Amino acid sequence: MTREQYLDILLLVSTLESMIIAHKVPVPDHMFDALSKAVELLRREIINAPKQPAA
Amino acid sequence: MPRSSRPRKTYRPRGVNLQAHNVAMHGAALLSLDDRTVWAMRLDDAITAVGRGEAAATQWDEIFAAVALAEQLVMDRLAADPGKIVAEAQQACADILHRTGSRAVKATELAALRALQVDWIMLLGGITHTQKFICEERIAIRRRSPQTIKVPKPCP
Repeated sequence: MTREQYLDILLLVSTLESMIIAHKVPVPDHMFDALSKAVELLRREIINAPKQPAA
Repeated sequence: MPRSSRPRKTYRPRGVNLQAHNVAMHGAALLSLDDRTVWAMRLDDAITAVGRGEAAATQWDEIFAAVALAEQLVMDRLAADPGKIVAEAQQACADILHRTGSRAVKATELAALRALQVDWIMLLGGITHTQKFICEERIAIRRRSPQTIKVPKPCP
């Protein structure tokens, strides 16, 4: 997977998390926790990692 | 041949900017995914901090900037806001900041800010660098211009 694809997933997951909070969708706690952890993991792995230099 | 007293005009051709087409292409391009993700995550951090009652001034700045940009995009007819999400987010900000004694945020206020975040992420996916720049310039002009207060005329 490319960095762009990872960023797409991060934005998607983060938006989903916000939509759940905004629209008060009843989601089981463990699923919401998993979603939050996924956002954190992706952030650490992608955003905080240095960009690969162009070949 | 009589010599004129006027000095001869000097012709100084201006150099051509070889990067002009790059600037034009950059302006017409959509915002990059990297930039949008970083801005979205900053706004996410700020709203999370507000929810915990730990928001610093810089985080409030992030939220105000997002609200102002969304409002300006709606004013410029680049976006529509039938659900009054911008107005609700502004009201939520005002309510949280005007509340004294407690930093707790109500669920409805947090929901309003999260709804704005969702829309803001989607808005940023559809605007160009030029549109964002123009919006930010207009926001800066609006902030600089003094508020016009209309004093009602006294009744006869």
